[in-house]
Amino acid sequence: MWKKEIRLAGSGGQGLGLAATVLASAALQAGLYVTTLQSYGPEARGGASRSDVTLSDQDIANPWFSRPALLLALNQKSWAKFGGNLAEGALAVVDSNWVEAHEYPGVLALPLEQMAKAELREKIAANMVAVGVIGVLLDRLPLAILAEAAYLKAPKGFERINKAAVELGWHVMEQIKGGVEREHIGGA
Amino acid sequence: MNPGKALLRQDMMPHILCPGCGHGIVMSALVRVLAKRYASLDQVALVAGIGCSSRVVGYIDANTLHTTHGRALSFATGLKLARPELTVIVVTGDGDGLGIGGNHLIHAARRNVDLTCILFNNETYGMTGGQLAPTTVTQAFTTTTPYGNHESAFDATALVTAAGATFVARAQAYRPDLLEGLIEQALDHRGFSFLDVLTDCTEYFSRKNQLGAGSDLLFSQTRSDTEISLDLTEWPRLQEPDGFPVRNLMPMGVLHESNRPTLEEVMELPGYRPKEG
Amino acid sequence: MATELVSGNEACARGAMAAGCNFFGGYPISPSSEVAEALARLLPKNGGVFLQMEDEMGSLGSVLGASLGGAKAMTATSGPGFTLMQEHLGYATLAEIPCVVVDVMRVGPSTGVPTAPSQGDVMQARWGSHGDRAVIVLAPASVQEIYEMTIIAFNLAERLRTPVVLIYDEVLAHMRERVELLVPHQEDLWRRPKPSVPPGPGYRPYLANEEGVAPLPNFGDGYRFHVTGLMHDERGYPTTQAKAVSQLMSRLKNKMEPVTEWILPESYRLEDADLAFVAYGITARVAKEAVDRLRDAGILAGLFRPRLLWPVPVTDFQKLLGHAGIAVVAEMNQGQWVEVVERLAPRSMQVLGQGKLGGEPMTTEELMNVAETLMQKGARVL
Repeated sequence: MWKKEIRLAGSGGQGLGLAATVLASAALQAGLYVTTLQSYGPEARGGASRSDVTLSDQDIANPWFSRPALLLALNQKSWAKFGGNLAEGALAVVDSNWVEAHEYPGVLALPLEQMAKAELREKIAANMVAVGVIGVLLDRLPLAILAEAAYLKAPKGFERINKAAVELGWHVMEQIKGGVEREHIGGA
Repeated sequence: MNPGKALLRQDMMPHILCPGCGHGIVMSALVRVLAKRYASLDQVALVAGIGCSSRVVGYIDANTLHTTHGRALSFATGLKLARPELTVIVVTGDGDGLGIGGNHLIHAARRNVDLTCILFNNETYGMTGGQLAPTTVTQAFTTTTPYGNHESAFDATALVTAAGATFVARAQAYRPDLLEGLIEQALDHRGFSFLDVLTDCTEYFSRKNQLGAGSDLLFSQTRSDTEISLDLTEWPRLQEPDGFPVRNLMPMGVLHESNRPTLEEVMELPGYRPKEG
Repeated sequence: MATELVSGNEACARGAMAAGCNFFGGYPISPSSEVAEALARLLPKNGGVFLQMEDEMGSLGSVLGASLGGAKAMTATSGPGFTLMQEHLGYATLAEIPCVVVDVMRVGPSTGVPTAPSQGDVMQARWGSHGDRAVIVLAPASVQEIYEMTIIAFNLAERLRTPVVLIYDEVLAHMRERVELLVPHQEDLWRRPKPSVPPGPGYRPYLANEEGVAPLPNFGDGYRFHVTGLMHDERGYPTTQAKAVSQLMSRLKNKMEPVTEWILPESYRLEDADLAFVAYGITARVAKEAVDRLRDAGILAGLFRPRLLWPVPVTDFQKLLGHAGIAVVAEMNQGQWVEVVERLAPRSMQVLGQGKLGGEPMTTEELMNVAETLMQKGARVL
């Protein structure tokens, strides 16, 4: 059984709900089982709101989890809240401009917001850049499906930008991954 | 014979009202108005809460709904919005409508649903044995104010006017002629219409305060066609030279009338036919 | 048919629309508000009425008034609001007014934790209103089932002229998962029985049919009948006669009986189970996963999941579960449905209540630990 518990965290308004929706829709499209669960009430409006996504190739019993296998933290507050409670061997993707998380071994610090701003002139699309990055890490969702989901679920006027942001994140992550693999091979 | 007798459920008699109670007079006026307007009450719904007043709807051969304490207006609102073509009349009491149901009353007034609310105001909780009501005048004795009422009474008409009712009137049991006219006006009105009808509880309120028999109470209410005496501020100095209790004058008749769209109109409900005016 | 990713609350609203709901009266409360928000969007577009009332008493009051006018009517609420609705739930039972009430369970008592899940309203749903009362309470365990059971709730409410309560917790309310929004056939949508006699002296509004249900015309159809929360006779007139009262109460109870045959529990790997979890709602999903993992570890576990909490599915319970040595009743409360299991369990069965409070759902590991500890103790009597 393959199962991945993903927590997308940041401040309310950083589009984590949409990121969850895009991941979940793409997963559905790819034939996976999926659940999402968002923080709710005053918590959702604060500085450390979260959107949880569970993907699996089998029925998912419980959408609720405390220790994700993959964490996205877009701000320091959410890293502080969720970074210390990860599953064994978990990966964390953080926005390097906003989050200091050096001490954690599985952390991947990327300037998500800066990338979105530089390439797409929309720093708000950082969430979709992150979705692209996560897509590569998951290794289950084809880019075409993920980008299409980003396009379909985007707010009016953001369809192309969000799709491009997913592609941007994907390609950057592919390069990093390739680099890591080459390095690994080279070192061996 | 009351022309409305054919509209009564004879097989539900005898009714539960006490001898001398003013409620029967108010009900009678309502039935006469209905008889004048409708050959059959197929399209009329009478909705009531809990209390002596609320029991009267059962005696009338209409679509009758005897609900829970204070909540008649919420049932009536749902019914009216689901069936906008029905004429919906709410019968409530002062405890029912202003005490436990006060919240529903102000919101019904605010929504301006096209229904008529007739509040039988006898200044006490009659069904439960004559306790303090939100309309009981200061210093009056009830079974729960053995040392006299420390609180002030609601003016229901001012309350619903402030809340947004578009037709507000006061009437009294002693002048059924005027009462009938006001019920007709209320039914003609487009929007939330409210009638504060002063009646009397002979069995409890009168006995506790030594106000005399039903007829004494009725006479004590009257002053003129435009005013009614109710507010017993001189309490407990009850007796006037003519033997009737002293009551302050309160205005009677139409107290407020305004015109704004009903909720049915704003919601554009099919089946709702707004009245003229 | 459309497959969509929707939340439990959205699925509830969509189910209501599929069932033909055309009136909603409600009051905002976490974590149920999205049901109201969705219906505020959907109802007016489809000829229905959405009404936000001043409180929960008024909400259910408006629903009952609309239902008497012929509407398929519902409300949705949570913990404290459900408490405020108890008076009108009792009224709807006695006056026999069809309606659907959704209660999204949150941590209580009182304001509690408004945003966190619990299963603490199970007994309130059963006994919350004063007086003796037969009730129907449905407990879905997935977003798909919320959609389907909302339709079923309307069917039961209409056919049996009674309030039907649908309860689920905050996690199910807010979780999104894949749902197939099957559109029911018109003939599968039950409607309240209508009188076979014309209006007039022969019509008795509370004279029951062969199912124990009195046909219900709409207000305005010409029948001019009386509806009251007082005990009443077949004419609908108030009565205090002991015989009439007890007959009415018996009929209201007996008419619910077929429901246990219509809404069957889920039985999962119970055939040879030594240890049976009994769980409903979100907890049942967790228990189901625990069953599989326990079996992988060599423990014969199974799951009995009531989809109908009230009336209690007595026959199914005894048929499916009677042979298990241990029943672990897992629920997010201090022990509510466990009392039912204790009552139904054969003497040979050890019944253990496994509660969890605090607003976090039970986990698979927690349930596995409980099961493993029990089995190590050799509690199985064979």
